[in-house]
Amino acid sequence: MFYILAILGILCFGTYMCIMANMLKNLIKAVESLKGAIESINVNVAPTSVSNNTMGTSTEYKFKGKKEVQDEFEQNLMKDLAQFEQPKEQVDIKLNLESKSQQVDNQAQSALDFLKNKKDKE
Amino acid sequence: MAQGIDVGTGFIVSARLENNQFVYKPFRDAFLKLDGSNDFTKKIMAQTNANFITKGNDIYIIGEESLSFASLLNKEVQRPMSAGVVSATETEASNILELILQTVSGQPQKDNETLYFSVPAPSIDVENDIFFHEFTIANTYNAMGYNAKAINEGLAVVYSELGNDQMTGIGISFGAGMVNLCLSLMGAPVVQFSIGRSGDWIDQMAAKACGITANKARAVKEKGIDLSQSKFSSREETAVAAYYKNLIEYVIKNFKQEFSKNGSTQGFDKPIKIVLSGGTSLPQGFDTLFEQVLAKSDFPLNVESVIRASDPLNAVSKGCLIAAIADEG
Repeated sequence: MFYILAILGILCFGTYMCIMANMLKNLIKAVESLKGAIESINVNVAPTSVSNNTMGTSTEYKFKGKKEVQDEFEQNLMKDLAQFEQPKEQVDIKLNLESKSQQVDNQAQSALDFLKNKKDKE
Repeated sequence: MAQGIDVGTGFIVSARLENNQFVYKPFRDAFLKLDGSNDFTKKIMAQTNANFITKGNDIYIIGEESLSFASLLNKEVQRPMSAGVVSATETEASNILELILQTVSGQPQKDNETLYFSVPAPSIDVENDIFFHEFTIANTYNAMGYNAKAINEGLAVVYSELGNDQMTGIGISFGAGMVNLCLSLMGAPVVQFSIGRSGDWIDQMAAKACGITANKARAVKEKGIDLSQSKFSSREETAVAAYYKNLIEYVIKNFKQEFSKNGSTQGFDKPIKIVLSGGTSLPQGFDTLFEQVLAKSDFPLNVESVIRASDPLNAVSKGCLIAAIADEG
């Protein structure tokens, strides 16, 4: 009786080990294939939208490139700036310090000529 | 038709060319927030000529008068900009700066009028977000219909004052919040940087040393002090002069460091001029003090002379305007 139980025990343990090894093998394969899939996508950011295809059977992932990221950043910045609260009761602000005039001097004329020549050459 | 704008911590100055003359319009870049929950305060404000806006229970006095009120109430004025750039966190300050810019510049005189505005160089001792600053100002002006472009503040001084020197030399703008320096060779920047201390720093340090407010220290400075003297009439004057000297030493020391990292003597065959501009450079004897400190500094370039800008308060806006006119062609 004891030998029969021992043999049955060994058989059960062996079967269990086989199942576990197979599962582990499949798991490693799955991880490797996932890693390969991620590496094959030539983008630098995470997926941003998920949608079903026309058949509704699988999923398409859309990724953003650098330019789209930059564009979105600038759009968000513009939105943030637009959200700045404006003064509600704005009154006319006057220029109440004295204006000053200065004749166009020789230095300024030389500077203008220099910069215009530089621009023409470019 | 073009416009130059000096976006400074102390003043915002517009420059335009009218009948062969540069016309400058300044505006004090400061404000003071008061509690306006009391109707009496609002009535008093309405009777003055001060520029102010109200928002809820707050009153914001904007421009020159904010200094008078601050002095009267023993308070410190606030600035829409800090460390030479618009504050990215203070929404109120950003709104007030926008309002001042719109007031000083007015509407463009033609579609897409070219406008150059000054921006600081990257700072070597304080954190200043120049990208956000430049973006905000360009955005304000572009929304008004201008074609806005940025120019380095130190380079604008070179454009303004070194036209007869082939745009070669050093331009330094001693503003209220920062010092901006640019070494230029034929109009191209070779070394440029800013430091986060200037006139306001002198006021604060002198105030701390003498136990007075920074406004009072500023008054000592603006009353007329001769920095070339060796003895001064009061403790406050002595403190102000000491911190002026310290500031000049700090600028020259940092230039030497930056030049050793990024500069070269190649191309600088002739001795150069150093131009001093900005409100902090106004006191009598400032150029003499600068020469004295320079002489002891083992400066890496040959210097022909240290000169003041022809109009120190308007040199940056003039340089911006010259850049704008040349760009328009």
